[in-house]
Order: sequence, then structure tokens, then C-alpha cells
Amino acid sequence: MDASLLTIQPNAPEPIYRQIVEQLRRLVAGGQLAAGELLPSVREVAGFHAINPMTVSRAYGLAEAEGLLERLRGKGMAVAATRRAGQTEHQRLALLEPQMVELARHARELELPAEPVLRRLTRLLGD
Amino acid sequence: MNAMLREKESVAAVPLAARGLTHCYEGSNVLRGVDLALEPGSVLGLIGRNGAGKSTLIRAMLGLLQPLSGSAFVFGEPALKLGDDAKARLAYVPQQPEALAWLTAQQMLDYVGRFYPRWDTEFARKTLERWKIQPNKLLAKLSPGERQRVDLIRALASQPELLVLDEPAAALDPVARRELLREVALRAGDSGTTVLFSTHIVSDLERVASEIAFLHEGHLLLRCGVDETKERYGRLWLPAAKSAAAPAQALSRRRHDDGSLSLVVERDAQGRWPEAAELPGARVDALGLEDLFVEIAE
Amino acid sequence: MKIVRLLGLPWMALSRRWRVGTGISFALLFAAIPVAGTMKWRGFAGTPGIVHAMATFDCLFWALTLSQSLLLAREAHRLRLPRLGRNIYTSLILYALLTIALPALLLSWLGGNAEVALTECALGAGLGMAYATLPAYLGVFVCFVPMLSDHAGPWLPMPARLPDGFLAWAAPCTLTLWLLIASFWRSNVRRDLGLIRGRRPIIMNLRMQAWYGNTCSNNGEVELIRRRMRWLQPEVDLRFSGPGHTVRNLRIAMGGLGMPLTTSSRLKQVTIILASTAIPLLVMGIAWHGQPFLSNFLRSSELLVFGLSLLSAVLALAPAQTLRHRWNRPNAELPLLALLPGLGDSAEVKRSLLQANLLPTLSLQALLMLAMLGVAAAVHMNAGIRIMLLLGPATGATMLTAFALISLGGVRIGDGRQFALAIYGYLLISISVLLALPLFGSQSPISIPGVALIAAVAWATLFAILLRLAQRGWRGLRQRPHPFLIQ
Repeated sequence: MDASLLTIQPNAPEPIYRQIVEQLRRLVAGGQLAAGELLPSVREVAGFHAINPMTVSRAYGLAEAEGLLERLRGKGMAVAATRRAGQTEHQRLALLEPQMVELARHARELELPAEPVLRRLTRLLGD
Repeated sequence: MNAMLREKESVAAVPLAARGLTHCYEGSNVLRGVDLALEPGSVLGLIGRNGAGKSTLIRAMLGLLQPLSGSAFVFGEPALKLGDDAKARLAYVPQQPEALAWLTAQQMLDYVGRFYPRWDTEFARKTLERWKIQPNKLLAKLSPGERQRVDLIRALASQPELLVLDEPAAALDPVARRELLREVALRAGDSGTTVLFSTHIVSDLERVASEIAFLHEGHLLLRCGVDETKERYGRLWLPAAKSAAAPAQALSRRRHDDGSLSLVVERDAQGRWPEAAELPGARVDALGLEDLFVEIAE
Repeated sequence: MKIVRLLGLPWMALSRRWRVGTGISFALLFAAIPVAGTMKWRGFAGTPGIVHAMATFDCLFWALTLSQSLLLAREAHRLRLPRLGRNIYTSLILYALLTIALPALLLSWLGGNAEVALTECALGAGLGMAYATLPAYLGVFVCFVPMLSDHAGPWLPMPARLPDGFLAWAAPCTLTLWLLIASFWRSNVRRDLGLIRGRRPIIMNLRMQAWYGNTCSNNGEVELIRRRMRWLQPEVDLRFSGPGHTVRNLRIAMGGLGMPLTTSSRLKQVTIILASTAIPLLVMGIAWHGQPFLSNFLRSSELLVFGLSLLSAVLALAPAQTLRHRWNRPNAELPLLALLPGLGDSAEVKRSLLQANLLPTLSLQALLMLAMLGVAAAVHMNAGIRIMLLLGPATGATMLTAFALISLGGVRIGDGRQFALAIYGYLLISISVLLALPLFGSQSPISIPGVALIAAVAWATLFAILLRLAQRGWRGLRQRPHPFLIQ
């Protein structure tokens, strides 16, 4: 994996370390990052995006604690081998949770009943 | 006795510390009792509006000016009486540096380099080349941005343990600014350099700073980690009907024309927003640092 | 537009303070002309004298006041205000009628030669205008014109003696001069920006300097280096610098006259100084060839020792001023030196700082003093004169030390007060030495008891002030934790 695969928005309200973890989760869950694939070193990521290395290590540490990554001796961080590209449906759905909460809030603010929203969503999902 | 010794040691470990700094210019107070300490290896971004006293605070912390009251310490030594050892471990780049205009960039680096035991001649040469600065041009003839870059090279080539930059990005173009931030970030990561930099460009700070300090009208309003700040503070909006229920504790409070209320609020120890956030119609928005800065400084 | 407003227009380009000052001075000067004419003061008798005075007045008036309209015309052109542009021309024509045509008319009515008066006034006004609005390299030649009128008499007919001969050469010259002014005026107004320095008229140079002086913290020193050609720039000698060479380190960091230079650069600087003093002497030699004045001037040992005495005092001003500016700039040398390791402890740095800043100038002053005493001994001047002469270098050294100490010690004293003190000192030296020299007969005026008493009091006051300042500065410097504190 290359450091350029990550996108960092420093002025977003979300802290940079969370942005990294979130992207790693999605990349792993979506299968773009295969099990055992090596991640760029903390220095590489920090240098490429001109961000504080501590922020990157914090993100990696969090991902490691989550079981997303594992530390390979002498090689650095890699996608955890125990991770299958296909996680359980429940786990993958959990990744969508923040966006769904947000969608629900907007729907309520617009005073839309659930039915048309769900109908539109179904069509968007292409089923 | 032991306790005193330990305290002295812990003070020596702190690269930069200020206690109760007060200063005034021509009768108006610029600093009103500022306490600030930097942990080793941290990157502290000092933020504030123009004229908030950032430069004065930095100068007072480095012993470049004599404050009215209070004291400052660099590596545990009183800032006004630094020894050679502490000076060799410290590098400072002032805002719009204009020193030694009668020397060429190369001469200035040669001259200053003689005084630093860990001076990196190779780094200075390569960086001059990389940043496309003619080494034989007189400093007076360089543009403000080039001048600032030469001074940054001067500071970085001495391989400091404490790097203090006053508005380093003000005269730099976006590319040069990004390069500087990268250099600062990597120095902090590789050699554990402690960095203090002041700026009013918030996005610079969000990239490399591990901590921020808000200086507003001579007071330190806020001092915490960048990530924690973003997670801990939010903007609570209350409709006019519910504005009476606003929490008493808020960093800033603004009433809009329609009677609704905007407050900057803080999560409690359990990570919960104040109770008013649960009221119907109330809303909590996440705040970027820039928004937070504007809300507080206004 | 009313005539009064038209007449006021050129004054708009002047700052308020200048407007009042020049207005009053010119009014007084103008009033003095008829008074001098009627009182027949110093050969001002008759119309030729009045015409001459009027022409001189016109020269000054057009150079210092009306030429400023060029700046206004440029602005009017740049801001696309054609009416203002036209008004400026109308007002200049009005002034030409008032200061050139009207006096000529009046003088012819009084019985003078109208053509000569018209030509001479127009020539005077044209010279003044040329000085201010022609490119600087042409404008300076106007300064040589008074010399021409004094010394070209035998081969150039002057109006007082040969009115017709004068008209024959002066009328075409005046016409050409005004055409030249008009063409340069036009190009100066139209060119938007970026006039090359040499081609800029003097008034615009002055305007630029005023601008730089007010906005930049670095007092034009950087601007000077920036404009100076590279080969004129002194080349620093970095050998023997670094830890352990504190005085030399500080001389490098202070820049200016005391900076150590490489041998070739030092030679070049000396050559430049010698050449720049030799050339004016050469020009004077050619201009006054065969006149007794020059040989008298060069042979006059009195003027030479007076010059040396005054010069050794004036030398104090530049280094003191440089130091003052160094200690007023918070982002320049002060923070760099304050945080530079290896300069030595605070007491040593303070001592070395005084050495580095005072010694080069003090030794130069000592050299001048020795030269002065040598000349004085060679021509057997008496002890009284020698003591008076010594007051020059003594004032210079004390002034330098006092001004340096107040800068280094952080004593706040206004720019104006320091300048006034320097002027007071220099006036005192000039007056005392001139009074001591036997220039006006055998007895020097300073030996009159009353004069001597006044001089003594004046000198005591000067030294008391200087020593008090030095003491305050010294105390301030000793109390500072390090000498590079920002105010």
C-alpha cells in the first residue's frame, strides 16, 4: 500500500487519526487491502502528508488494538492475517452506522415519512 | 532535599516553560500572566489573532526581552541568563528575519555554523540547493520568502532539540509552506525535536501540531491536544424558546437576531454533551479548529 | 476654477509642514527683494540688481515648490483625472505670468530693460525646474551654474555689463532649456512605473526615500545594500571568527564600517573613497584654474585643521546611528546574537561589544587628531588654538561613547533629542574653532573674556549632558542580564 491512498483533510472537524483509522477500516472491509499486506511506515505517511508522526502512530495503534492491523517484527505494520476480506454482514453494516444516523436526522428534519426514503434508498442501491 | 532535587530534574527535562509572564508596551498590557510549558517531543502551535501577543510571549519565553513580571526557563535555565549549552540546543526563527543583511546566504550560514557543535553543513548546502536559493546572493537582495527560508535552514542545520518559529509560514508560498511543515513534522518524529510555532493559519497547525494553545488578549484561553480539542468541543445551537435552558458553562456564547443561541460547549468526563443538547430542537455540531478559533476569538 | 484655487494647486503636492515652512520663507524672500533694491544693499542698486535677485528667487521657487506639480501631474495621469491634469498646466502658466512676465513688465516700467529681465527670470525659473524635474544626472549640472556666473564673466557676456550680448546667448539657451523640461515632463508623466534610478528626477527620488524611511523598520540600510552594485559591496572576511574570537565575531555581526573585510575588498573601498574625494577636487581645480582662491584654499592650514577637527567629531554620528538602529530591530541581529552559543559570558560580551563598536571609530578619530596636531605643530599654532582644536575629537569620542552606551543600555531618548544634541555639539565646535583661529585679524575673538565665558558655559553644558547620558547608559548596560535585549 502507498501513503497516497490515504486522504487527509486537516481542517475537517474529525481528528486526523480518526480519519486514518476510518479509511483503513473501509479499505480492509472493502477488500482493497488484503490480509498480510504491508502498510507504509509512520515516517512515510507523515512525510507524504506533512502531518505529525505521532498522529499516524496513534492511528496505527488504535487500528492494531481493534485487530485491524498487526505488527510484524522487523517489517512494520500489516493488515491482520486473521482478518478476512469478507467480514460478517453485521460488522460491515456497523461501518455505515454514522452515515445512516445522519441520514435519519436529515429525513426527520425534512419531515419525510420513512417509506419514500426507503424506496429511494432501495432504488439507489440498485436492487 | 530529594524532592527538591527531583523537581529540579523535572524542570530541566522541560524544554521550555513560562510562569506568570506579564508584559506591557506603552501602558497597554500584552501579556497578562501566561503559564505555559512544553513537554519534550511535543509540537505546540500557538494561535491567536494579530496583536494577541504571540511574538511577545515567544520573545519573553526565550529571554529576548525582560518581562515586567514572571519568569521563563529554557531546559531548566533562566531564559534571561542562558548558558552556551542551552543556546546550542535551541534555534529560533523570528517573524520576517532580517539579520546580517550584508552577508550572502552562504557567508551567513558559514559564520553562524561555527558556533554550533552539531552543525550539519551538508544539510545546509543541500537544502539551499533544493529550495533554489543562490548561495552567493546578498541576504538584503533576497525576497522576504527566500530570506525566511535561509533563516529556517540556519535554524534546522544546527540540529536543535528545541525549535521555536514565530509565524514561519507568513512569507512562504503554499509549496514552501508544505515543505517546511514536512521538515518540522519529521524532525519531531525522528529526533524528538520539541517545536513551538506561532501562526494564525489554522490548517498548518492542524497538520503538524500535537497541541495547541490559544492566546487571546494576553491570556491563554485554551491549551490541549489537537485531537482532543476537536473531539471535546462542539457548537450547541438552541432555538429561542429553549435558550433559557442553556448551560452556564460555555467557552463562548452568542445570541442571534431571532433569539436563538450558539454556545461552544465541552463534553464532560464521561464524554457526554451538556444536558441541554438533548432538548428537542437543540443541535450539536462538530467544530473544526478554525471554527472554534473564530467562535472564541470573536 | 477660481484663480486662488489654481494658485494653490502646486502646493497640494507638499506635505502640510513643508507647505507652511516654504510658504513663509518664500514670502519673506520675496519681500526682501524690493527692500534690498531700495536700500541699495551691497550693489543691489538699479534694475539689473533687482532682476538678478528676482531670477535667483524664481530659481529657488520653481525648484522647491512648483516642480512638485510633476508628482501631482503623474498622479492625475495615473488616476485618469484629465481635468486635474489641465488645471495643473493652467496653474503653472499662471505662475509663469506672475513670477516671470509681471516682474519684467514692472521693471521695464521702472526704466529697466524688459527683454533682459524677461530672459533672466525665465532662465532662473528654468534652471530651478530643470534641477528638480530633469533626470538626476542632468539635474545636478544646475548646481554648477552659480560657479559659471561668477567665473565665466570674461568670456560670457553678463546682463549688467552687456545686455545685448547676454540676450544673444541667453534667449536661445532659455528656450532650449524649457523645451527640454517640457519633453522630460511629458515622458515622466506618461511613464507609469519603474523609472530607472538614474533617470528618475530628483524630486521623485526624494519622494521614494521619504516613503522607505517611513514604512520600513530597517531605516533604508537594507535598501541601500539592495541598490548598491555588487562590486561596490564590502566583502566580509570570515577568517578568525567563531568561538573564542568574540570581538571579531561581533564586528561581523554589527556590519557597517567596523566589519572586517578581505584585503582586496579593503583596498577597493579605500580606492573608492580616495577617488570620490579626488574627483571633486579635480573639478574645482579645473574650474578655478589660475584663480588665487584655490591656491589660497589649499594652502590655508587653518581651514585644514578646522576641517580635521570637525570631521573627527562628525565621524561619531554614523556608527552611533547604526548601533541605534540595530538595537531597535527585534527581528534582526538581536535575537540571533542573544541565542548564539560560544560568544562568552554576559560580562565578556558586554565588554567586547563596546570594543567592537567603539574601537574602529575611536582609532580613526585618533588618527585624524594626530594629523590635525601635526599640521598645527608644523605651522606653529599657539597652544590656545591647539586646545580648541582638540575639543573636536574630544566631543566626537564622548558623543560616540555616550550614544553607543544609551543604545546598548536601553536608555530611551527621542531621535530628535539625540539629533539636536549632535547639531548643538557640531555648531559649538565650528564656532569655537573659527573664533579661535586668527582668521579675522591678529587677535582671535575667543580671547575676549566675555566670549570665552559664554564658550566655557556652552562647552560645560554639552559635556555634562553627554556624560550624564553615558552614565545612564553604562548603568543600564550593567544591569541588563544580557546586552541583546529587545526593548
